[in-house]
Amino acid sequence: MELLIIILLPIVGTILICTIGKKSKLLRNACVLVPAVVDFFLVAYLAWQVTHGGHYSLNLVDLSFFAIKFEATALSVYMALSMTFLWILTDVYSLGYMEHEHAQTRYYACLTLNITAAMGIVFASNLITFFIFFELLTVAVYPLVIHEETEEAYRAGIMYGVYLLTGGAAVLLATVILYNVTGTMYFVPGGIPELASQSKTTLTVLFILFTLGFGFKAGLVPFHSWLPNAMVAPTPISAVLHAVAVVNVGVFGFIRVIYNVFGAELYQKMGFHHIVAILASVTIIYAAVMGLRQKEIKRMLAFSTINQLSFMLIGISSISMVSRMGGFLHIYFHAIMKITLFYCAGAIITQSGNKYLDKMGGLAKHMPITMTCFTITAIGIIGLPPVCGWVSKWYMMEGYFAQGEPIFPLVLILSGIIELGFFAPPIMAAFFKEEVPGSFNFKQDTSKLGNEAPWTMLLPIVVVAILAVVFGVWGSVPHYLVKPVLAGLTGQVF
Amino acid sequence: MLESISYQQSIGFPLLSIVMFLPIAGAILLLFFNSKNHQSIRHFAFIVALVDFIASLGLLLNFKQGVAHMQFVEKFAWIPAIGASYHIGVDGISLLLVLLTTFTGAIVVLSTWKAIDTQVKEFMICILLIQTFMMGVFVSLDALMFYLFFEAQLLPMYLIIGIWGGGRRIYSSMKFFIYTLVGSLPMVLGLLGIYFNYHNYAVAHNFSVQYTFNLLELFLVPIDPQWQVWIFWALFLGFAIKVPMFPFHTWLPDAHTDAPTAGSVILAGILLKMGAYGFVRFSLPLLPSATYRFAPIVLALSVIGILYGAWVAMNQEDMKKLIAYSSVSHMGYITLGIFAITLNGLMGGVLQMINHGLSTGALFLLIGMIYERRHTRMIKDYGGLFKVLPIYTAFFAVAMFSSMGVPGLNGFVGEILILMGTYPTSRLFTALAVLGVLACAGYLLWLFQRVFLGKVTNPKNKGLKDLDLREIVVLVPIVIMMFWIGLYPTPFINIIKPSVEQMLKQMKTKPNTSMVESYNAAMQKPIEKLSFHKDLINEHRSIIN
Repeated sequence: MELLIIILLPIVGTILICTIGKKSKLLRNACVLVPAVVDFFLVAYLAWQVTHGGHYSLNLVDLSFFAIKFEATALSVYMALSMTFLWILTDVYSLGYMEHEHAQTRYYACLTLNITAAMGIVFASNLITFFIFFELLTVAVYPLVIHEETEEAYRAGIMYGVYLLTGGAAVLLATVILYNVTGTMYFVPGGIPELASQSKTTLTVLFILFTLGFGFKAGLVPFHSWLPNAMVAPTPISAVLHAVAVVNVGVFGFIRVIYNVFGAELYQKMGFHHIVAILASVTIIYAAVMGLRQKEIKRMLAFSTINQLSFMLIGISSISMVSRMGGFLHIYFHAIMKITLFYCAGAIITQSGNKYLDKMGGLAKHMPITMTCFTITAIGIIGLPPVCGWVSKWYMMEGYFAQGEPIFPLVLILSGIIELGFFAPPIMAAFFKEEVPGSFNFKQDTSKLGNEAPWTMLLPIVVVAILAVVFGVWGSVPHYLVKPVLAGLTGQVF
Repeated sequence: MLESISYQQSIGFPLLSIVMFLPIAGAILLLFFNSKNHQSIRHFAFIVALVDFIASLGLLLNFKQGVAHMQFVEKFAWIPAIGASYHIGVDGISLLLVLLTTFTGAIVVLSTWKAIDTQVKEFMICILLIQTFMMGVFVSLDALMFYLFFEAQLLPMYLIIGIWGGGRRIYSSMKFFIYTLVGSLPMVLGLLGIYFNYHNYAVAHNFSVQYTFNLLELFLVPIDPQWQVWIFWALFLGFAIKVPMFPFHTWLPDAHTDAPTAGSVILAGILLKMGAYGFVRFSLPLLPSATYRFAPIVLALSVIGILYGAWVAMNQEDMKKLIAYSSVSHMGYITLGIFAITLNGLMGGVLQMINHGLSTGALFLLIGMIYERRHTRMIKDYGGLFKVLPIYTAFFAVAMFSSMGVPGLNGFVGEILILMGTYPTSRLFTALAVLGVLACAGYLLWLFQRVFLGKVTNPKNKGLKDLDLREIVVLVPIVIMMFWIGLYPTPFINIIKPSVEQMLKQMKTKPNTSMVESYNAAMQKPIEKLSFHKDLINEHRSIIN
């Protein structure tokens, strides 16, 4: 029942938003916020129940080849919790950001529909259900990518569609093959047993298809180029979808494949973890270097996202439990930090009218709160204490060192240094340099906050920035959050 | 499939015949209408089609699920000398097609309210006639009857394209007529081959009945593998042209482009399915060894059709032609599923017939609606329609997603079944078919972008009126069905599955041991009226023992 509400409520919300349209802003905003808030509390309730031995599942259709089934596992509530929470903040942020934008009905309808897509993906208990919502997410994000309706947006939209539908087709083919060779497509803790007896070719083909399919969504090089281009979308969309939902779903897909389809043992026996780790390392370095060359703030953040997503991949495909824990934690921490950065970027762009990194001089005088939050989370992304990014990075590196593969920690450190290279100059400029005349175009003081964004935008920024610090200093968080997830996935308690 | 239960067992009256002949009765009554009174003709035709649809729901409600045999069987001697009889019945494969026919019929009549305003009476008569003929094809259990109905639908369709069409309508209708006729001549030969094969067998084994067109009896007699080859290709030509499979598809885009909307919907929705149905009903169970032998060729043709259709669709500038080529591509999936000869593939093929009827039918309806407003179908004349016609755009998007096979809508369920069924037969073709899915997304999304997104570039599009109530009523049932099949396909699969399973069994165990077993099982539960004669059963008993 809880699961049904979680999945259906956003759809109801979407329909209501469409019917209300422009008639009543208040009512519409309620329809935007209520599904997200209710879903968050339901997920929180499920999280409590599941970690205390509760079992929740929902069967909608049950045919051998086509089953729509959901199950609340520790992993799904772990993912769902962060998504729904950040969704609420993004909804609030959007209220401010979208105030004067066109096509608000379409925007809010799609944004709310994507909650269903994301929840469907994380709670799906088999590949078909997963795929259904995976494609729903692809389709429902498209109108948001082309929101601006400019030539550039349409071009980005086409690229987005082609890339992600190609990935979807790969997942579809993989599902078909999997069903035919094993007779099942359910996610099994520890992996599908029938796969162990399959030939190496079959396993390799499956692995390639899955990597292709989720690689597109997770922004693995060379399948990443849609992500920076999709930054033409409104900033809240870049934030919630391209830092949290869509791309994390790619990582989540990898988690499902590694732990619930192949099983960690078979995955390692075939040596796939090395391939993923190497691909991820290449992505990390490439994206970091590309990030250095960006001039626009959102494109830089996009490359930073590509870079950070591969951190997670390195973590989750590791043999060591400690590294895995780091990988899983990074999903959370990165989401929190990157969403802050995007929120800040959105505030800067809308308030000052400047989207270029080299024109940030003196900005901190105008927008002190925003720039402070930006700086705090940038520190976290680079991987320095006391902001949460360092915790997950630390675990990842520790695990890899312990298993005698120091090359990957070196990659992480190198990436941190390069990232320092692209975060430091704009921040330094904003705080310590003089303003170049004409780089900002502030509207006349309209709020009590001076040139800061309206409170609907500022509040989410401050909340996530504080969270980023809290998670960075509160040491028992990882154990509390990730342990049940890893225990559920691998069956090992550590 | 062997046993059949007559209507007396299920319901007290000949419902199937009523459903089948109601439209023709309506057509006859229409003759007495004043041909100037367009509105009352339209209303009457719609009421007939609607009542027919409601009556066909009676079939669905009384259909016994979980069994494979023919139901609602009616049989009367017709030409006893040659063994032809009036013999109809439905099983899980044909029931859904009958329902699709009545469903589409009602929608089509309603959709022509404004589009057809010349010779309305004649048009409605043609539509109602074609309804009966199409159902005749799906319910015939007599090979001769099947052939007659298969041919009979040509005439009204020829008239619909030729009289109420646009563009090069005479050329297109002739092309349609000639292609189909060329296909059906070898088909007759093939059916006669099966007929005389039975005769020879009956003479050799001293049966009391020496001639029969009864499909259920023809199924029981084995056909020599050498013979099967010839019969297979003879039937193949007839069915493949109807489907149409690559390389026999060239009549389809012309016919679609020049037909009126109603004609296109009937053509795409139901007529094309007759070819695929022919494969399922005749080629597979009657000619198993030839089917197994030549399936790779048919599969290859299907995949070529899928990719070629998609490729050509991508280059079209006329929306209707684009959808017509996408039909070639989508019908390729159906034949792919059927000739994979696996349970999933066949179920997918049959389900996809329904899905394709819904999604392509809806797309043609939608294009017809915009054509009525702007009198152009060229993509370049449009742009930014979303701003002007939001409701229309929403319906178009749903139909397009259904056609693309987006999960959650009907197309996906059929597609995944077909892919899963094809994989054990051929991995290569499965992979290529997935590419086709991708290509389909490509050309449809591109179409959508060019027509609906962006700014309104053409000032003529600015004042367009959005859908009115009648048009919404036409589309909503289709959309409901799309979501129903897409989200909860269980009832449909439950209907299709037993019949398909039985047919596969029948293919794999020639000569027909399974059928005799199921006959024996049936005999223990006394079923009064079994529609085939004792000689054959005794014959097959001796084969088993």
